[in-house]
Amino acid sequence: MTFVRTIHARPPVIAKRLARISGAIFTSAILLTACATPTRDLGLQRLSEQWEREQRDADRALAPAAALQVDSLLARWRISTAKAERAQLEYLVGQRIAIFRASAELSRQIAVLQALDSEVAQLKQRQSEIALENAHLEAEKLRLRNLAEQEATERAQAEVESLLADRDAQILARDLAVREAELARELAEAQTRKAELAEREAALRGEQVDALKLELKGLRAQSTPRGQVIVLSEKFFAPGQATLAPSIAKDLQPLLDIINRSASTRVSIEGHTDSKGSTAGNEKLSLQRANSVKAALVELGAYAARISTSGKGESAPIASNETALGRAQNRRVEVWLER
Amino acid sequence: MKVFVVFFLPLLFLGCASTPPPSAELESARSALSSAQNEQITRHAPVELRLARDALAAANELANNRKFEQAKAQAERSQAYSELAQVKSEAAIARATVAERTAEVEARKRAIDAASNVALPALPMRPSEPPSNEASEETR
Repeated sequence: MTFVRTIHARPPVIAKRLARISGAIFTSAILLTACATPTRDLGLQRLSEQWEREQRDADRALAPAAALQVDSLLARWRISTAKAERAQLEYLVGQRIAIFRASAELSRQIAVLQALDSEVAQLKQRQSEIALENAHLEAEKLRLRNLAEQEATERAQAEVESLLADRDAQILARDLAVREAELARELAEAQTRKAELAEREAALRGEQVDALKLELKGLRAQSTPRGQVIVLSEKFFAPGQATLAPSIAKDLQPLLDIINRSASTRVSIEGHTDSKGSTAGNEKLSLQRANSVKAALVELGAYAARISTSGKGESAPIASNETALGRAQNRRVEVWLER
Repeated sequence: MKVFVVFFLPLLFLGCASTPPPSAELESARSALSSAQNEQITRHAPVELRLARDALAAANELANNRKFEQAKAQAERSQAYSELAQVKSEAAIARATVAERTAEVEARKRAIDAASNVALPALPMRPSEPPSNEASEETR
């Protein structure tokens, strides 16, 4: 603003001065030229010092063209004698120093900018490297995770397979044991059956013969679930009697044969009565009848310890007690060859 | 003595007797101002631009009044102001760009730090050390 004011304020003054000087110059030109020592000038002094300071603050190399312009203006000023020219040079030097200052600043900023640009380039490079690295890491992580999953799957699969194999082996072993046991059992059963069949065959053969013999002696053999039973009735015991006639006792030989051939180890002889008489007396009588038969069999050679006796009294009739024949049938002794 | 006469005499005649119109200086100042008249410079160096304009206007007026010496001086001043405006604007733009670039550098550094920190926890998971496998082998 100060410049503007001076610009507007000066022209009339300068014009007047110039007019005066231009008149005077013609007359004093030679003289002035002869003693061309420039006048000591405070403005020049001040600006020269400022220029020195300016160059200490900023290297000339930052703005060499602007610096040269200042230098040449100062040189012109030092030898200039015309007052108007000196004033103009002073003004221009001030402007050029400002230009130098701004140019130096520009150069510095450009240098900083170049450094920043290269730093940005480096950072960009680093960023892309990191991105790549991270991508690699991600990929590696993913690969490891997949690997772990795959391993786990394989491990689980192997475990299942081994379990299955174990189970199969166990099942096989168990099946084999079961099958072996079954076979052994079947074999044993078969052998038992075979023995039984043989026995049964023999027994049947014996039984047939015995049955025939028994039939002849008036004895009947029956097969029941409890075992084989031979019933001695009708003609064996008289009413109220427990003794067997000696002739009849001899007829018990076929019965002894059956007992000896029998597989059964226990022979039980049960005595029975008809309904005549007291119950207690009948029980006693029935036991005596059983004992009589046992005694007769032992007489014939039977092993006494094998034979047990019991008296059932009138409790188990096999026929009606109303008729004589029925009562005769009820007076009996049953010889059980128990299974 | 001879040198002084040869050197200064033409100068004196030129400067004092008949100064020609400073058409070169005026033209140069005009072109400098017109190239300095753009949006950036108007923003960053408005004072210098105005001084340049005022000085050129004064120079034109002085030239019209046939005050060529003064017109030349004003043209020279206008020229210098235009140049100053130009350089100041360029420096201001450079300063702004530097600030911008500095911020970018900081942002990129932060981004790099963040990215590096993210990457760190993944490092122990290297394939060369599989302790989980061994453990599972033992427990089997």
